[in-house]
Amino acid sequence: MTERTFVVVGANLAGGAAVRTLRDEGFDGRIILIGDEPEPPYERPPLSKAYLRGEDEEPTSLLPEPWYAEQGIELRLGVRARRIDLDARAVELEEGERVGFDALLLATGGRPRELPGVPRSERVTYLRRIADADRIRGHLGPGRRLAIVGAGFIGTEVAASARMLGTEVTLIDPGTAPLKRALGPEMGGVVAGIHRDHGVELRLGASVEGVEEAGGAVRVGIEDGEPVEADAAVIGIGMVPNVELAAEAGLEVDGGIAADAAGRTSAEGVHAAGDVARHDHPLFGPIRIEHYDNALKMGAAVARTMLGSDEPFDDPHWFWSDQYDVQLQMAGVAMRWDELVVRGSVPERDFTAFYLQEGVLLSALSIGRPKDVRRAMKLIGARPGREALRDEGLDLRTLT
Amino acid sequence: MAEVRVTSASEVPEGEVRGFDVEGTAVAVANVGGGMQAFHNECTHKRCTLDDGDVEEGAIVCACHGSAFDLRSGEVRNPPATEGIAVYPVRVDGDDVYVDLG
Repeated sequence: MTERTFVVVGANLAGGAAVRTLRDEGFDGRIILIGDEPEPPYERPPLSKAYLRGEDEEPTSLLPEPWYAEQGIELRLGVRARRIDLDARAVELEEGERVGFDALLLATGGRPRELPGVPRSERVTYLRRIADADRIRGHLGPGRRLAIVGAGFIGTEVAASARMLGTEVTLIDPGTAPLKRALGPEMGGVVAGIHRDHGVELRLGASVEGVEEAGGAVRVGIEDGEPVEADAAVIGIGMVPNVELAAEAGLEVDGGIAADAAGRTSAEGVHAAGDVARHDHPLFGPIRIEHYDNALKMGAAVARTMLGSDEPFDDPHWFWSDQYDVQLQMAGVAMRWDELVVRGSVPERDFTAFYLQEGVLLSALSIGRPKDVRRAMKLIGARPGREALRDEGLDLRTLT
Repeated sequence: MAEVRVTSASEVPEGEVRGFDVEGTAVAVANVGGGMQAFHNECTHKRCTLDDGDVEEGAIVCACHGSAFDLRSGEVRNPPATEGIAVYPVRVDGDDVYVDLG
């Protein structure tokens, strides 16, 4: 039998987890990992936290650098995959090289959504990669003013890091609360309180008209409101999945690369994982998730699919967000819910909130109670009963 | 260092993880899978105490960021941690739990 070649496009967390799993599971064929960033897969979460604040000198590599050579992983870094030739079963790289594959994994990730008409500059930045964090870091510190457009995870985490370094921060969002899309208005309100207590000026319900630069400063225009003057601006208004490579090859794309429960796309032998993959989740339906743990777990799961497994990827999803000395954790996915059950104290910011729809637990959010969330992961999709969820004396593990 | 008595077995019920200070070393004892396991009670990622986490499939999972360490070898099973933790031999004699910090 001739040696098989597996190609992974995306030298990121999903791609890194996939190549590691391929070797862990005993695949001894060729593995080629292609990425347009110069670094091998690294931890992205610190880019808005410890790395941004200068506490970490460099981002941590997912795998030790020598591992790739030891395991015979061929790296093509700092190079973009230009085209997939499905007929020839090959990926064409920007510099002209053609890489043949027997199985292909697309972990092409995403890029920051841009504010229309607002180009990147030294003072106006988006955050996704190491160089972005380096640029933002130069604008942080006492006496500096930072305007942040978008109060999602990137916006709130950058706000927290910036405040921790003494920066004056204005956080602008058109919604009524930070993190509203992920947490809902009630819990988003708790996050608003945390940021206000740490001295962030919140401009909620504020639609940004544009960002102008003049005389070494930026001015963020607000519809029907006072503009925000600052020394620099960070825009964090979401991520656009990098679906172009897949779409141009004729793969089914629907707000992400469409994949079945095990991560197989519409093209034979082509798979998708991570931020870019909209996979048919057994519990939540078709969904695309942009979190760290999902990238790792899905990368690993889809690698097993490449090796012949038919196992659906049914992880309930889990993530954290560290802001100041507060840790928020969440598991599950709740697009809508009809009941929010709280265990603990919301005013003391020591609680777990359970999101239920017709009695079914869809999601759990904790502030200061990570153990609850880890334990609730096993209850997602079940009907644990609101009294039991509320009862602090009751170990959530007993409800499984 | 010789064996040190850390706790009584009844202090660590089945399925639980408890933290102890053993002569200045943070030690966690987990009662899982019908036996006691002991390990350094500090995640190598951000220094969270590991006894806040649960044991899942033979690994202690840090409650802070999900790093997982194999309870037998101490090796990293799941990032973000990149370095493993020390694991210690345990001996249970009657109700006494002894740990050898080496």
